[in-house]
Amino acid sequence: MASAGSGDEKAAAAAMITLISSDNEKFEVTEATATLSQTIRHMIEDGCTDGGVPLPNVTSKILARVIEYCKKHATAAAGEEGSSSSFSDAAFLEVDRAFLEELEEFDDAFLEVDRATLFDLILAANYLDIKGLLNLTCQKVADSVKGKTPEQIREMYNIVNDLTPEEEAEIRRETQWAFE
Amino acid sequence: MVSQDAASIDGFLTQDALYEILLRVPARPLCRFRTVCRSWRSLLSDPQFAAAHAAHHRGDPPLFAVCVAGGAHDEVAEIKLLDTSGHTVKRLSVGPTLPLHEMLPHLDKVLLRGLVQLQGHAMRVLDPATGTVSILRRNIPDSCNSIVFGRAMSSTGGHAGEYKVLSLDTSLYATQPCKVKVLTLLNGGGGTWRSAPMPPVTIKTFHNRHKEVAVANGVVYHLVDNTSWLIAAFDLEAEQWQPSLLQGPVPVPTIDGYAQPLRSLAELNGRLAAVSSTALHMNIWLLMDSGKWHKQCRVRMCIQQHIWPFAKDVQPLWLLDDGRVALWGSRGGMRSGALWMYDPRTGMCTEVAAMENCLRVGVGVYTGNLLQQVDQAAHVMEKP
Repeated sequence: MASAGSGDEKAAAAAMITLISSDNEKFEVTEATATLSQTIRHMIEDGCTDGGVPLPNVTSKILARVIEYCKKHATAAAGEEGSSSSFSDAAFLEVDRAFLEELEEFDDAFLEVDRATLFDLILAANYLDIKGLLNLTCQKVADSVKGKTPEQIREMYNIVNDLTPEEEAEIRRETQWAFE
Repeated sequence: MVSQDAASIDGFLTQDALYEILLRVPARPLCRFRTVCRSWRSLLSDPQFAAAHAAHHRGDPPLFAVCVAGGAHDEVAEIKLLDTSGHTVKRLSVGPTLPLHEMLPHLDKVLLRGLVQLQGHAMRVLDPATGTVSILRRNIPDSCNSIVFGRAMSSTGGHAGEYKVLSLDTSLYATQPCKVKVLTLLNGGGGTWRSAPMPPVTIKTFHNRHKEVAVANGVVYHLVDNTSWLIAAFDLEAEQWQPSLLQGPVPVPTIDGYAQPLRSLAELNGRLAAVSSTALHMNIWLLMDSGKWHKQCRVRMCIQQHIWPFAKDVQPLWLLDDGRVALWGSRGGMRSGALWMYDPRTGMCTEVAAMENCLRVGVGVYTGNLLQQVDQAAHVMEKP
């Protein structure tokens, strides 16, 4: 199972890109990993990645996590391409499924972070335009708030209620069904 | 447990990121969250956000609209929107009004038809998202035996057109083609009845709780009789019958031996479905874009559980991505009804929600947007 992606690694080993975090740490990644970010993909296409890509909005701690995610998912993408172009026999399908399961486990483990880190990951995913990571992290927060009352939301996120009691009562009247 | 870092979510996250998160929260909690604060209220009341939310959740499992007539004289319409787990996402009631004859849910509206005509109050249209009820202010034509409610689909872009009501005077003993009338649903009411062409053949219906009619993609499909599987098709946009009849799928031989399979039509996943049921099985085909029928599944009736109703009282509602089939069935002498999930892998049905007082019931898939709010600029309306 661990050797699932090994056949496709040479395809991904082409070009290397240097990413520079806000605290000036340099990260060397493959182009396949970096281009999971649409923002970086466009920079590569525009040919402005020589000397590294500065990412002033992302700290080294968060960038390391983002790269960890991208590496895993870039391998997954390469694996999918590999198997669809070759004949699809049962053994390949089995490997695919095992790999998808592994990816799901990776995602679950990846989300085991404190709330501040989760928010930073959302901001980074949004800035770097990494669809999969944005979806994963936002869904995690969405799932954690959907069962909450407005009071609990305010408490969780220190939000000050600036609605007048009349306004609040009016909204409640309009959407009484959602409170039942 | 409030963590140290719990600064304001608005201060902590950019507006973009908050938007991305809330886009992934279901509509029901979002309606509650309008009371969190001013900035959340304005985002969650923004029609553009509502549209983006609907687009994001397009692939989600659907909600089912279950409408029953309640009150002492069937004068109150009780509507529940259920999710695939059977949880009530929204419930609302309309009335009291005149006794109800039938309730026809279609896409994001429900047509409520009264038992009697009085001052043009025979038909109302409910928008379950806003709770708005529009009175059509038109009597149902005297010739009418059956009412069909559907939404036209524009021939050009494939986008949604107007809602229309079709009046048919079909009968089991008809000897000549039926008279057809059409009424367009206008903002807050109905237009006038127009005569439409007669169908290409005489339609002999059998009034089996509307299961001989289904509306899919702007086309009304009507079984022509109860012996063959011929279907007449009326395009709601063009207001024309298709010149040739559609031939239903050839039913597979049944093992029952004694019972002739019951043929019926349904709208499933936005397509026309042909359904053949016996006491033991229900076979479902979908009409594909190619014009060919595609066999979707075979539902095994769980009669050994003594809870499954007769096949003729079962209405398929939706085919879920995981292979399960959502069904609505009446049981116990049809006083109560239930939402069932059939799992073909185990061959078992699970009841996920039950409703009492289902003598008059209309069930369909609800496609509306629950974040939608009453448009203050709108028309004649009546609060339920």
